[in-house]
Amino acid sequence: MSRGTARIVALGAPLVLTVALLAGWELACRGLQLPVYLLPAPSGIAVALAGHAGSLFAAAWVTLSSALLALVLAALVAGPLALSAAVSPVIERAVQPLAVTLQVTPVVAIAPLVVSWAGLDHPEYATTALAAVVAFFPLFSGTLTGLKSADPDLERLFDLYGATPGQRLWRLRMPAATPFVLEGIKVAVGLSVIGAVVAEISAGSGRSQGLAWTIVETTHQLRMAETFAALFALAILAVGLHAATRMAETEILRKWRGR
Amino acid sequence: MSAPSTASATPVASLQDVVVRYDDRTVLGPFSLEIAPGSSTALVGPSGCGKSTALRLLAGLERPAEGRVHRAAGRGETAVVFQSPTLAPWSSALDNVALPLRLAGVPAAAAAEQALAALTRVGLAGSERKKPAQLSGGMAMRVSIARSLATAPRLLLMDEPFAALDEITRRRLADDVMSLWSDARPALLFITHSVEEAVYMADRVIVMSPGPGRIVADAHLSDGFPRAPRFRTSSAFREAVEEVSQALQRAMETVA
Repeated sequence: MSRGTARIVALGAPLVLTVALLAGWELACRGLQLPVYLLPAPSGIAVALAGHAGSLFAAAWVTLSSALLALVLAALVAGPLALSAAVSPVIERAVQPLAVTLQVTPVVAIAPLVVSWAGLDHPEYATTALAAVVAFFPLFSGTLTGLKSADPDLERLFDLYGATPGQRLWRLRMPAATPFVLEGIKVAVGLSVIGAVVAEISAGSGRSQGLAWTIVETTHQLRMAETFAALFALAILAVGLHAATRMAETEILRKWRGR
Repeated sequence: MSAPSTASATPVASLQDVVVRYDDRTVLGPFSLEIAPGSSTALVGPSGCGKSTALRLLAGLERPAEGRVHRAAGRGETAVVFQSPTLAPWSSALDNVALPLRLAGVPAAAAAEQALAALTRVGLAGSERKKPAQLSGGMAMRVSIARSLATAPRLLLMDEPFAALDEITRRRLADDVMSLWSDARPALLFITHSVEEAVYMADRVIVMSPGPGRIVADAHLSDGFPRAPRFRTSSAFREAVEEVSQALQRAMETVA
């Protein structure tokens, strides 16, 4: 297979499968005359997408902005904490079990609590807080692992030349951590969207206006075409965010290692 | 075989009856060694005989359980070249070479100038902006050597620096290190698996027994030192290789 053909297959194969599945779906809906409140046809979903583009876009922005804000908040806590844990074994010992506990506790389980703390008037506090909670661990553990990942012989070289702790951190451990931090960010980005969605669903109706809330609300009202349209928008949002993060990661790593 | 004229001078570094243990397992010693200024000592021995441990003691990177380590060369006067180039992958060749100078507080511009001079001496002028991933194994090792020379050390410790390179690159680097070394003549300790390399690089070859390492042979080979490439084809070279090989063979047999 030539390079060009391989590329066409790589891009075309999933496209052909998607089109075939959509066609089968459309035909099944029409042939079996399924009611729209059970399963809307792709054409109906497309109409809903077009008709509610404005409100879906607004809802997507609500979800996206709380996920991104959560990411920043989580990074503001995880970064300094990982730095101090990397410098002090005592702090690492103290923090590590709590971080792991936070990580293994399902976010769905703590969502109702956080939502009730945030109160009905401010569901966006809850979405941001829960998204930050799930984004915290990959950021913290990626940064900590990275800070401790420097080549042991390079560490010895810093010993040899009598580097100060500051020089070691700034000239060795922080740059060595870069790939691990980027990996942590990539994982955290995906998780922060999940966290925001879980919180919106827990908050249920109220004043939350995100995509997950749209999904819950339209399902209750049996406006299934809109539910699917919102699901579609959520998938696009997550995929787009992932792709953007991966591109940024690749680009930064290319600069980092010079090729 | 004549005794080196420098033997009576104060050693740059020495180990006196040192013993190193990891978890109660003795990996080195009792072991004694003196590194005379301007000398080049090669340490040959099987894997696990404690050669690298001896080097780390001399570098001050490790402490012995028993015995004494004496270092006349202070901080910043000792340089180590490891088996892998050990470069920071995020830094250019120039920044890697400038690192020890920057750590010693040399201002950026002066450090860059000295680093460029060191890179030029190892034949890498024009590659200073490249990062380690863009360099071949031999070039990366040259950067590592340039970094060790940048601080003008009094004691240069090399731990199997050419072990991962192909034969041609090895020989070329050995020639270049010899020629660079004879310019400044820091006291050199060169660890290697290869008897030929040891004989070529050093005026004193020490053979160690399998771990825990002890000295089983100590040969002074001042013929044609410092060496030039033609030494490799001389009869003196072949005789010295033969002598050291036999010592190594005896060392292996006493253990088996």
